Amino acid sequence: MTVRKWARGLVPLAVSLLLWQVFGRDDSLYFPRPSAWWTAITRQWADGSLLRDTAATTGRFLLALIIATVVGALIGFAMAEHRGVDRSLNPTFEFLRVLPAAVTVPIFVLMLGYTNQMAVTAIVFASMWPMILATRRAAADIPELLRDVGATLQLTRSQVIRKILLPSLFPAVFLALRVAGPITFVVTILVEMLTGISGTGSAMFLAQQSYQSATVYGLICVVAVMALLVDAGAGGLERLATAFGGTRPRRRAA
Amino acid sequence: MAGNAAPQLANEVEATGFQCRGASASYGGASGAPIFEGVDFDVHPGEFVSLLGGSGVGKTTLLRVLGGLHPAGKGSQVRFAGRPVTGPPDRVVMVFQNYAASLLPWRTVESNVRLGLERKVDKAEQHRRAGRALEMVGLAKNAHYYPRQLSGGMQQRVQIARALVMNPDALLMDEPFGALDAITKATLQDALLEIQRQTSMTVVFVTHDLDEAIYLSDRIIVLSGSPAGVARNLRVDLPRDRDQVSTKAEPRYLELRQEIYNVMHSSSGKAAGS
Amino acid sequence: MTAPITRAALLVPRVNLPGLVAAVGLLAAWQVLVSTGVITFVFLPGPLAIAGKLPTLLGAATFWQDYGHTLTYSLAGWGLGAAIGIVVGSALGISKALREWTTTSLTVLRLIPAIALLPIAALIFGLSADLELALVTYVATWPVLVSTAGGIEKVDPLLRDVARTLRISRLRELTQVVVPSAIGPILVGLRLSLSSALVLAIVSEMIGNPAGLGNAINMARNALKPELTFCYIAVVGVTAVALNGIFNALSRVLAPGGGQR
Repeated sequence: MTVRKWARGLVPLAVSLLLWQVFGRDDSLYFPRPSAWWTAITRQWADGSLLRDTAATTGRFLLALIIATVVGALIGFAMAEHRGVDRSLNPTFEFLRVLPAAVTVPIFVLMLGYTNQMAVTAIVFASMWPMILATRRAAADIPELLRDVGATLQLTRSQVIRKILLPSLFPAVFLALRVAGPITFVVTILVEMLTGISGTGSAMFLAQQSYQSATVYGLICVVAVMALLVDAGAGGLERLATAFGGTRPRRRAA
Repeated sequence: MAGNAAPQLANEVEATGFQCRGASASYGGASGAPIFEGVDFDVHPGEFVSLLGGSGVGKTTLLRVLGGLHPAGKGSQVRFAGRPVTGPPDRVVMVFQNYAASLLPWRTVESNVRLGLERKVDKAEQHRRAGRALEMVGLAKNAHYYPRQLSGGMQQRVQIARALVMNPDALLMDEPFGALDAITKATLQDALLEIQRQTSMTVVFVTHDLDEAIYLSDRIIVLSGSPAGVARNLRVDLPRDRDQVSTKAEPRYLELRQEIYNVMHSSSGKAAGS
Repeated sequence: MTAPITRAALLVPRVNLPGLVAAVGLLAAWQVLVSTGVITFVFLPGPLAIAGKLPTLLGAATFWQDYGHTLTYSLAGWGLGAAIGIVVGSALGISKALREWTTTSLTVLRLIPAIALLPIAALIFGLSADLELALVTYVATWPVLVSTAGGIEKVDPLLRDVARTLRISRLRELTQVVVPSAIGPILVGLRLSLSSALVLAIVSEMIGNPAGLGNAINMARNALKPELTFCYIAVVGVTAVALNGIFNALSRVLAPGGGQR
């Protein structure tokens, strides 16, 4: 999309914020104006809490994402390669995938207490399933044709794996991350809010409980920026994947 | 009547040719519905043979059986160079219809062409042979491009180069030009004829395009019916020097065209195997 | 080669035997690991202990009250959100100008996780049932909005040309061509929306509106009763799967072969 079109689409949001700013009041409990948000955020920046919280959230998110990706890729790939493994594991995984993260978090809290390990474990557990299933789908989309190519060129099985299947793994994982990345981010915020573990999510919660609404709005903007970055990153990975061979799901038949 | 099937396997056919006797194949392995049965024919060394038939008749499956990518049914005898085909035979390479999906997108053109040679031949020889193959298909200047940067016709040439680089005795081609526009198709057809002239390879070419079959081949095997069988096995007795305009104006060309058209569209379907 | 597929056959899923075996096997392994003491988390009971608690739970009247609450608010929010989503999404799908002037704004808003809005909603609505309904409605709107807009926008232009060449009126084009084409994506959006609605209902019950299953899970956790917590997990999981299944079955009946998946 061109920059101009992109900017045009931003108009409603910009106009709304502008109107809010003009007609709002700083001391409104429910709807403080944007300038108040800015003040609140700069205060958080000044006392270091903003950096600390966003760093905690980001670190947690990335760590969980890496673990979930590695585990998800291994299992997802195994499922795509072996029909038997796929048929046996798929139903269980589909069930685990629909389990809302919110519901499984209390168990982890019981088992591991209010620690960072608990948070990361809970996030990994919740985002692992979409990762596995997305990898499996992306891996299954690797053209059957490529195996025929390997056969007709008399490649050995290990050559087929090394030269064709493994290099296809990267686009497949990137495509899976497109879907699972944003999910992992949402789960990260969720876990923080549910458990109060220090981070952006819980900061929002604390602000709400002390009726600091401007801070809450400000932190929403921070979360929005983080979400946009995650989405942009995931989109970039997807473009990289399709350039190097991943097939997009739901493509029109050629 | 169907072709010249000799009961014993003559030595001349053995050299780099195919023989099918009573060949059959079915969906889903050995026990599904039959796709074709009772197929008998020979492909002589250096011959250009087309397998011609309507969509879905089974010609691709037959080609895959020849190429060892699909199991032949019980009682079939399928041989290449005198030996039964149980897997992709040595010195036989297949070129697929979906050229885009058959190339590795993360490798350059040159690297794609070398794919089949790696570990079999040393690096210097790989580069030499790849260079020569790319020249033969007219892509020497595009060696360092990526497949997605090339047009459809060029991608198909890359696939052909990849097959040529293996110095095969036989090339199996599955509707390779089906997805290309008329002009590119004509260009590639002539390029293929020139390559075959230079290398004396045996070529088995699957197509549903009647004109393409007559233009390219020494012999045409028409498949029809369900399950399919050989309806006609005839020699194309046109001068070997083919030209897109003059060959197609020859009276003999038109006669062959009419004859084959009738066979393909007759309701009697297949002739009994031999 | 194809046998006629009856409507009833569409509703009955085929049994996946290896899947069943694997699931049972995993549960069995879990039980063994706990019983033999290989895994000794104080708060990780074995499946048998959990199953033991289940009948008690299902027999309690309070459980069904909680369950009813959560289900009601999920479905209510879903319905409201779906309605809003379809209306707004249709407008977006039809009008290119509207799309151009709003897409970026909507994308930015859409990417903000709904739970991040819970604190604000809590300030505005207080810790009440309104909070839950508002949040569920909000989260249910987006998938439907996006998929409706996309489904209507991406109707094959060829079909539009067909409508034009047959001189069909604009209204009929909309109802006979555009909407039926878009049904597929809309159904997908509705299904996603349903799962999100259930999740948000539970989340807002956990930290906003102390009622329903979310609240019950919190209490089980606070009372240090892991078997009970697991029972709730199982119940919620089964509900999610059931809702999904019912929805799929309904959409197969109402729109067989509908649109793209």
